[in-house]
Amino acid sequence: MNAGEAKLPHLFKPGRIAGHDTANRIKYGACCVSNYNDRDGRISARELARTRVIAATGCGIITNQGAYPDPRGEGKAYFRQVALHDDRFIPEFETIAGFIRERGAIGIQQILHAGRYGGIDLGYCIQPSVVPQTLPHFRPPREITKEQIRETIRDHAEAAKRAIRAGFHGTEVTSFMGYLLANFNSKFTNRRTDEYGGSLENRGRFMRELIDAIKQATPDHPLVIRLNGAELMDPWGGNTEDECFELMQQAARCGVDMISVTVGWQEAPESSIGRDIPPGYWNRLAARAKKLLPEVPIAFGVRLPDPVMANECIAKGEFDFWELCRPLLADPELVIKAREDRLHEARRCIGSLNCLSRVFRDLPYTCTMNPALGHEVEPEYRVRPAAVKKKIMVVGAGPAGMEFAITAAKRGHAVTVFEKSDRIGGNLLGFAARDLARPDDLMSVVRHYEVMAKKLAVEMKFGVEANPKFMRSQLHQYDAAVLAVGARINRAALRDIDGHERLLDAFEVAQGKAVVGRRVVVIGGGKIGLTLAESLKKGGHEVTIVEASKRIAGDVMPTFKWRHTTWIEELGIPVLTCARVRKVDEQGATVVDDKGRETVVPADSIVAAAPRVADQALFHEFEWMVDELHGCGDALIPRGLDSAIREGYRLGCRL
Amino acid sequence: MPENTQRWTDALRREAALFEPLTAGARIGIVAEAIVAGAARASTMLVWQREREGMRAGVERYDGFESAPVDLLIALDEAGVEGIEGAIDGDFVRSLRALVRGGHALFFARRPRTELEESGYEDLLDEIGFAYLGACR
Repeated sequence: MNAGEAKLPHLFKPGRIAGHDTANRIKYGACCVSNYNDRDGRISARELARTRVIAATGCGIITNQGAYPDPRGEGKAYFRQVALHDDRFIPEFETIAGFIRERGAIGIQQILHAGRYGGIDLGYCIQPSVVPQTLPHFRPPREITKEQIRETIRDHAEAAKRAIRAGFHGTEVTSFMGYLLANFNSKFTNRRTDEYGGSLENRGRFMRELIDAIKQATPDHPLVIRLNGAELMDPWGGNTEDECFELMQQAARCGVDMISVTVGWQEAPESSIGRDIPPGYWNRLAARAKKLLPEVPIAFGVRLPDPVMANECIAKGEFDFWELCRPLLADPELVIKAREDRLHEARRCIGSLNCLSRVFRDLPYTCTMNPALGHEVEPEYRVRPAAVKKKIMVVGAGPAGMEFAITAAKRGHAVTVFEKSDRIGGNLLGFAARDLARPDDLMSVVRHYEVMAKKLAVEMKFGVEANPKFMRSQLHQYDAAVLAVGARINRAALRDIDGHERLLDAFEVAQGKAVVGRRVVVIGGGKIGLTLAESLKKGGHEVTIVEASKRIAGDVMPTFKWRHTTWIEELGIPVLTCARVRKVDEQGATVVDDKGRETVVPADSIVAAAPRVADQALFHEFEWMVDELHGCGDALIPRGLDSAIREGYRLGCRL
Repeated sequence: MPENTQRWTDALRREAALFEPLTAGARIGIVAEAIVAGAARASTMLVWQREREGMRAGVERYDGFESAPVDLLIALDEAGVEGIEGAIDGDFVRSLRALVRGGHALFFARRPRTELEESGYEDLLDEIGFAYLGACR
């Protein structure tokens, strides 16, 4: 037994689903879809390379991402979703099933008819009743007829048969997030007056017929159903939690082999899986399902990214299988590291929702923490031994510099990082601590680099200010230098402000190097200014934000924009948009709006959080001092964590 | 729902800059959630309409959201109706935003996103806090 297995015995004990033994109690969830595939639904080489990685994650059950079952594309929710409505798609599914079987896991193919969120290539979607979209990303609804219901159920059963023919052990249907099954189950979208609508019994009829049809089509194979423990749509006429659990009972009576408990619809008015939801928050729903249906295996993993917590939940009997996806996007070796007692080396999902932000822009999903995600098919993204082992110096121990350093070290280079402060983290450090959502998630990035630098023997030299004099002292000692010094506030762009010398620097304030008074004006309503303003306000300061453009949060990840705007409102931080600071003095900031009107905002401190500029001076100064000179991250263009990690990694793979 | 259309027209025109990007003919309907839920199918809705000279409020018959001749339908629960009525002479945009965030107002889009953008809704929806992307959050 591995050391990790001894520490997490419940997670790593064998399980069973419909007569099939599983190596452990971990189920790779189908999560969302990758958008890596061909537009006609055929699985791409990119997807196959990705699924090979998924198959190797060490999960006892692997669920392959949802395939739409109908030839019309009404069930298709994502531009590059895979299809399983015809035999011509089977060969690639066979390959994936083969990957899973090779690893000794149980392969489950999810069949996903998106209902209300479907018809992405069409001018409409189908659902039980015509309930307009609350998210205009999706298509206008048409009411599904009874004949179409029968046809849709047949499509599901046929798709299930194809999945089994391809070599999967079983199938899964899903009502997660508000897909077709959920649309029938929910009072919010099912307002029918026939036998498929009205009472809970009637609303559950589609689900029961669907289960029955798949069970008849694939009688010897497990069928998993994903059902909401909470829709979070009840304020708008959706199902109550009690109704959700009655539907689970209906599904259990129909003989499903596992229930995966999920939370929320895409259009729900509250969060379910973001960083602002504490891990474990929804566990009660799984526990309720397990108590209600002790004989049915229950899988759960909504906002439950931690294997240690999952192990405890299984021990307590709250659920049977830990179902996860996003943590395995961030680190495909998470389960292996847990098994080998190397969890401290894992890259944690930080809940930035970069993945879903991209999927809803019809882009392939990527991961802030895993720059190789989706590029597994490309040799250029692989960490391979370097042909020539080099001695490399890195300037800057922020995410870009550290990502480069550990990637280059894995390839065999000897890496030394020079950092002017006394620890790893760069500008992320100050802002991670001030994150209102969950500082620990962002701090986990810093901890990861600390652990990996030590493990990979990256030499860290702190307290070193990189400048030409320093560089001259290092002449001919390194084959390459990487500048990852990040961005700084562009004070030159603020020189028009009368009294600009009094401006404080947002990065220095964030890191505690500059102290602000009680009343603060923050110039810039982007992520730097917002994060700082929010934390200052929470710390008891009076804060006003001055933003030049029409809206705040312009550089914030789409799925986090609303959080910042909400926090700003909840905290009562005044925001002056379309405005600029003209003068700074002991009275405060004189602010001019786009109509030329002046206001004096009383303040003890004025903090510049914008504009940012790449810190590129060293590129010119070092140019003739080292053989190879490279840059990455915000030192090239100020952006953020995602591009810093991606570029550090890419350069590390290449150099 | 409030049916004092002149006061609503005045309120909308106070926020002229926000509605200015809308193309002429753009229409937003506002109804009580109880009506949307089917408690009273035939009722009235408040309509904010963009006309060439600016915004105008009116009251129209509401026969269900399937047929409501508007681009967006805002359904307000009891607290939402109270909130928006109370804000008619004040910062009603801010109030509406708070109602959306508080779960007291729900938008139904009767046109797809691309069409809404073409009709100039982007700024307005952003200002109100309309979830544009899908909220698997």
